[in-house]
Amino acid sequence: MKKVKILYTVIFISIVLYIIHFIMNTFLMYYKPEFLNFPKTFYSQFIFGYYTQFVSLFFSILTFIALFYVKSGLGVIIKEGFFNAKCSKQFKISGNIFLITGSLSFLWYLLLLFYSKGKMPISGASDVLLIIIGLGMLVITDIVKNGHLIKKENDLTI
Amino acid sequence: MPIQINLDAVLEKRGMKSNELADIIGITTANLSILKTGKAKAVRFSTLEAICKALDCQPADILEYVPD
Repeated sequence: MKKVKILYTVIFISIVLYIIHFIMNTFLMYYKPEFLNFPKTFYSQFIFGYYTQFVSLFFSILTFIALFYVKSGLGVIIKEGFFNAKCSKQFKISGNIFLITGSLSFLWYLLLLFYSKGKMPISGASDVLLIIIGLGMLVITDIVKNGHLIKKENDLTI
Repeated sequence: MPIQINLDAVLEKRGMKSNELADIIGITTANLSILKTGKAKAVRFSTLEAICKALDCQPADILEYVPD
């Protein structure tokens, strides 16, 4: 349980950092016009021009939501013990979000690579890692689900 | 479930109450209630042995197979 609590704290800190990051970026974009203010010719190199940067933001938001579900699931584990139906639901949602985010992000990276005719640096490793985390979460969901079933049967053994 | 628990009938025959049996065999009344209502998924041999000893009966007196 100690390791679960450590993981819970790490994820909680990550969520707080994510929020600070969003707030700071929003602040810089609206109140500091010189921030990321590149000439129009610079943006014309990208697939969606100026809006290309917001695609990554969309993936970040999805990752944030998934992290939030992982945090909730771990919170339930801390309160009610390892095997329960509630946390398996939370983990399943987070696993699916991680998997979708990782896949979409990887496809986006391939699209950018194709669009830039191979000029992009190779950086798809984090997306693959996200896919692996998503699959890992789904495996954990199955383990928790089976554990819950075994626990239930054990509790009903007189 | 096709396995029926006839614990109530045996208890009545012996003139014993559920909580008395629970005390003798060392399980909670809540668990004995789960057993009596047929909600239990399994019965340990040790529990069955304790019940048979306390009620002076055979396992077949408590458990009965009734096809669906």
